[in-house]
Amino acid sequence: MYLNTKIVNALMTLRAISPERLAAVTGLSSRALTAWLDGTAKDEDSDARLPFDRQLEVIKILGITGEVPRSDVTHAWFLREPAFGSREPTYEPLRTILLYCGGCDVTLLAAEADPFVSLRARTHFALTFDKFRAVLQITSAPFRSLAFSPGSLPNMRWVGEQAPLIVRKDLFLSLTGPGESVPAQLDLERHKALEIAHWKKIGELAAERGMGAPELAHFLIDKVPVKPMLPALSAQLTAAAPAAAKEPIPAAPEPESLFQGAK
Amino acid sequence: MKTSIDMTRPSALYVGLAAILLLAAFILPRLGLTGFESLVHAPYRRSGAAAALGVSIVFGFLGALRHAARAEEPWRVPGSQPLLLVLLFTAFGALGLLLSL
Repeated sequence: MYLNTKIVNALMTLRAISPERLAAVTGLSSRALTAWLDGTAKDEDSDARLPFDRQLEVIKILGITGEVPRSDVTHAWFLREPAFGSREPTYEPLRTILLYCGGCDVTLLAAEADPFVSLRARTHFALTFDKFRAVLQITSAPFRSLAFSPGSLPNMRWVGEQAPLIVRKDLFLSLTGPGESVPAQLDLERHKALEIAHWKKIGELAAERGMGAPELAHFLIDKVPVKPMLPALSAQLTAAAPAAAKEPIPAAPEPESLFQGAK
Repeated sequence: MKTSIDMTRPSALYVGLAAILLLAAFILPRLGLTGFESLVHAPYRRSGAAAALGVSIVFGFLGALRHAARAEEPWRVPGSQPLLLVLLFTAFGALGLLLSL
């Protein structure tokens, strides 16, 4: 068994960790780590210099336990678009991870009010994968529009039009701070945002059928029995959030595997 | 939960800057600051003032467009983009105003 270093490299870029920093954290030789990541070490040397259990330590630092990123934390990922030139290569690590991890929903994550002055062009997105959650921060040049286009990335579904996460400032700081939030918090906010979109859709469906709010209310009162669920409503809302996140997501066309067969 | 970003504060700032510029354009010529002409001996001062004001108007228009675009698609247009354009609008406007005195 050996690890797919393409995925490890992509995760390092997304986590904004340099090989030197990773070597310092894991206590590995920087040269051995770089040689393993670049694939420049000879196969047998690579295994000797960086045994498999040490490779597992490396991916653990990058947030992976087992085959996929951990589900008990919200992963903080970072990308930086260049001020000039093509911005397509910026998204290559994200493309790799999307192919490896499968489909995800993506939506805007922003504070509810813009500040008076902001010269930092940082945009945050909430990524809801099947098994884990991530917040992606993209920094762009202050004078350029963002080139991030979920439609052009594999397995990414944009839900920002109907359910953007526009939250209070303190909550925004909590959700976007690395290690500050838990996935359930993000799921709850996403559930609230989707709920607004769903109620809007119900309103549109009712209007299409010639029903106003009073008629719809009467219909519900007359036809739909009341469920005894009010005392635990908040707890159910929290529990319902992960279920809401499990909407069908298109499967990965060619999923890569972190663990490759033995050589 | 809100479904759109509240852009009242940057909007107020941009309108405030434009209002200050207009107010200055209204008040400064009435103050009788006649010495400025002797300070700046540029041969095409009037033309320069007109050009600066024209450029200022273009930047102001572009700033307003980008501000509206941010209201529409906040995930694509960073808040810094309209701000930079409005700052250029203010700077060129102030320059044009000074040259025209």
